[in-house]
Amino acid sequence: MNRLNKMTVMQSVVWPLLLWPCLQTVSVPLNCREDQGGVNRCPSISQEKLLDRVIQHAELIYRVSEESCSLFEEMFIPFELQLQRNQAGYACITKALPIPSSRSEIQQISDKWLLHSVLMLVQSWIEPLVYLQTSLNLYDVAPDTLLNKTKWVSEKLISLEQGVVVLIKKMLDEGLLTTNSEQGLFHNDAQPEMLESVMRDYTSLSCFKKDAHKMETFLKLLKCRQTDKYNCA
Amino acid sequence: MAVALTMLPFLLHIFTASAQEYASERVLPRINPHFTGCVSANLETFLCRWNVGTSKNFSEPGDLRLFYKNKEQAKEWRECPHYSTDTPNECFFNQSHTSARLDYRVQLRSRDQDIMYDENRFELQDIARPDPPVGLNWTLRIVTDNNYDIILSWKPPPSADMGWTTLQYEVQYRNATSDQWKADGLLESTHHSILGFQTNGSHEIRVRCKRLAGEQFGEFSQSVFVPSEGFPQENPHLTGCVSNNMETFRCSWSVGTSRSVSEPRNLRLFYITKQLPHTPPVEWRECPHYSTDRPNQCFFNQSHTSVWLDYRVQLHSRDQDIMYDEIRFELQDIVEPDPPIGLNWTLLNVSVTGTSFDIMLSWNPPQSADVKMGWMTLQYEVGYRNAISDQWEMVDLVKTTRRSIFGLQTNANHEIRVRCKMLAGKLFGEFSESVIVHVPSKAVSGFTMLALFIFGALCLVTILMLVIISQQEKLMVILLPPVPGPKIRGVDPELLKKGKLRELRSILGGYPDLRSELYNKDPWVEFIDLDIEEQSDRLTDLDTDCLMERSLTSNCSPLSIGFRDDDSGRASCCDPDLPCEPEPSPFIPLIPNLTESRDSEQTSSHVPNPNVGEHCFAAPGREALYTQVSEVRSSGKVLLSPEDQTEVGQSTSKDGEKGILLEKKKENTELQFLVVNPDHGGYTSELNAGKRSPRVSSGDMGEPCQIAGYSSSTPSLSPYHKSDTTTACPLPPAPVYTVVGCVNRQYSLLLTPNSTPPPQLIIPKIVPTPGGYLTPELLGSVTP
Repeated sequence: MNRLNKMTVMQSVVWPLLLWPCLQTVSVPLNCREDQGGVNRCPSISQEKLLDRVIQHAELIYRVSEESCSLFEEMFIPFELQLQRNQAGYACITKALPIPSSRSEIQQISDKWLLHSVLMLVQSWIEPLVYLQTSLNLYDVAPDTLLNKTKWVSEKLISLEQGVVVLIKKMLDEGLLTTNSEQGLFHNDAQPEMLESVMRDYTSLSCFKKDAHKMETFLKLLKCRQTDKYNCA
Repeated sequence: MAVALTMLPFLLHIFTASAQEYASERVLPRINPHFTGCVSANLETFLCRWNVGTSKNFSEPGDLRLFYKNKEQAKEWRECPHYSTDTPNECFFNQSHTSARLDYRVQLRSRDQDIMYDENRFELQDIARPDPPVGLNWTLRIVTDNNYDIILSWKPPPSADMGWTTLQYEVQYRNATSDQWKADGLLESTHHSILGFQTNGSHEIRVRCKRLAGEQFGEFSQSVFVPSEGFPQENPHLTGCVSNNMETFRCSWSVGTSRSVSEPRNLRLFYITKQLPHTPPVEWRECPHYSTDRPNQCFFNQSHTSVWLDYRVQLHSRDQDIMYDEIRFELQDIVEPDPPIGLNWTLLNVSVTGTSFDIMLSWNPPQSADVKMGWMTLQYEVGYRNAISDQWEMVDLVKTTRRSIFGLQTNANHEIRVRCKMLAGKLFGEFSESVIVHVPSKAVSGFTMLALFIFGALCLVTILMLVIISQQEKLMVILLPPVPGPKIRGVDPELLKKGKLRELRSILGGYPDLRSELYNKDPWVEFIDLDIEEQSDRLTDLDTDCLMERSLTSNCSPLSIGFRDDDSGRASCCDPDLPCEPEPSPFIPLIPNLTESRDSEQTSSHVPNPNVGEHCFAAPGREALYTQVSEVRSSGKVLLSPEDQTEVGQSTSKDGEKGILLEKKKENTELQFLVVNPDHGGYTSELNAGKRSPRVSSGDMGEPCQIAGYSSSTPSLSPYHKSDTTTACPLPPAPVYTVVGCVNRQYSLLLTPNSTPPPQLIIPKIVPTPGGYLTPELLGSVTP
């Protein structure tokens, strides 16, 4: 246990240090709150830069979520069950969302739809991540790195949401409310019964990883379209 | 009776022998030599064998002879062309004596051909018996755990010419435990499968062959054994599905050791994807396209591929009754990108020494991966190694298509390759083609310069070391100046060495005025001036008071004069080599004499003083003439230092003695001095002192002016005057010095009385500094 603690302490020290430069570049908050008066107090930032930063965010979230998932898998999931995370009987939370599933399909949907899909994904994961965090905290032997990573991810997700909202506003000239609308998604789809919370958390993590990949891909495709419309189609 | 008894064993023996012979004849029938068989392996040669039988002893070769005749040569019988040498009783017919389809008759005859034991008649093809097949081999085909099939293969015997003969084979096998051989019928191919083996023991298998339409089988081959356990059982199974661009993928499987290995389409692949809930449920579909270029592979094109969806792929048998294997995956997890292309390198720089260089590597993402759109984000890993080593060095992952590699070795071949994987993926693709990098090391100018520089520095250092070592003493002198040796002004340093104590004592005991500066004025030589303060017992510094008898007990401190010592070294009494005995001892006997003489002189001096005016010449121009007694010799002689004296440097005795010559200047002829001959150290007695004076006069003073020996003034003054004393030199009084009033006719010093103690011999103190001495100029003021 001592060794584990030492390792985790070291990791918890090293990990923020490693992330520090990333955090520096990425974690500038966007004070884009929509007041009732509708005054837009966003600092002026070009759309291109905003998109770049959003993409950076999404990529980082995807990587960290993948690392969390691997960590969890290593520690808690025996090998035989690793391939069965998508057993019949349960699915990811966001299975209800109409997400295109092939490149050709994705290429056919519009920018607006891409952005909205991303926003839906983001918003639908904010609360489940919090739930996941509380669940992980109940573990005895969860390493601190894992907990820190998931915590980091859930924080970053919120800022990603903000970014996407602003992006939507800039690109599509739409106003959107944040966070509150999709909250029901979590409760709607009743989680099928899990035998163990471990499997549930594992499913959660891997589903989130998949969705993070989706977010990242959509945003990148969006960027490609912005810069060079003809080659991306 | 005895005879009968002795005869009995003999008779018994005869009976048994004959019985034996009879028995043998009865038991073993007589067997004549006969043929055991003639056999041909390949219808081109054949051999015949026979048995010698038991009738006679036919062990000798040539006892039995074989003769043959074939239809061609109907007339003659010919003997065996070649009796086999390695096996007895065998005859070999090679190709020249063999012809097929001919009727052969072979006969076995005795040596003399009188008896014919056996005969054989055959045609060649009748006796054809092929050799056993070779290279019997088996492989296993598993059906179930206990049931398996054996696939046999072998090769025909090498002697059989396949075009000539068609062979038929027979495979026999049996369980190792039983004795019964089972045969599987005649085959014409060289392979065979035995089905339905039970794994309840090992089996033995053998093969033999015969000619088609022949009758005789050849010999059996060597048996092979099939073990009963330890062979793997492998069902058909899926080996994996992989995608290279996240839009298409392939699934492959392996047939295992199934019996249906050679039959295509015995295995079928089915798949199903989890679709969205509001789309209708999808059923199992078969592989859209079984690969044609590669067996056992199924290709899913774009229309059948969905990302982020759950796939299930199953392998079925042909009739779908058996499901062999299933795997589940999602497309993004099985992506292994193609290797990067266009690997290229440019030289960044070469190190100064020319031994290492840096390069910038660049490549392009694989064409199949759509990186531009962002569909796939790739991470690259570069590996490089020195061509001679086996270890690949892997560089950290990069997202860009460039990477610099530092520190490669010149003049060596380096192999570099790249591979990539999806960002946050787990599976790497294949490595790209390796590119060889070779940079010859540039001209070694830089390196030689460095080497030369180092060499030069080393030489310099060596030279410096040599110089230092050779000039060690001088350097030591410069760096650590030695303590100057003892040197006393006026004293030869030789005297300061050991063994010269007496001379030194005499020297040091002498009056400072009469010392070496008269003859050894080397201003540049540093003399050690004696430290009077440390020599309280040295009476060389006697005050004139000390000369007085009465003042002997008084505290005359010879060292009252402040002693200025400039010299750092002090050859003084502190030096253990130098004697520090009370020097006054030699003085003491003198002093009473002195005082005596003084007194005597005093009296005498008083008297003639007023009268002696005519005899006393006063020094011209001087109120009082001072002189110094520079030394009182042991001879009792007094050496005065003349005022006008020129340099005293003329030392007569240079042999280390302190000889003081008082030289009087020629112009001061009025001054009469007695120059005491330097004697050998110390003071002689007063008696002797007087004797010395003529010597002195004849000696090297050369000056007319002489001063009568002081010490033995009274009785011996008269003999003193043999010397050419011309004038008397009255000396004016002085508080320190005893003034010689005049020298009377008797050539005795008349010391003038003064307020200070009456005329006394001047024994001046040892003046500490040269400055304290009376210079020769001052001596001129001494009035005779």
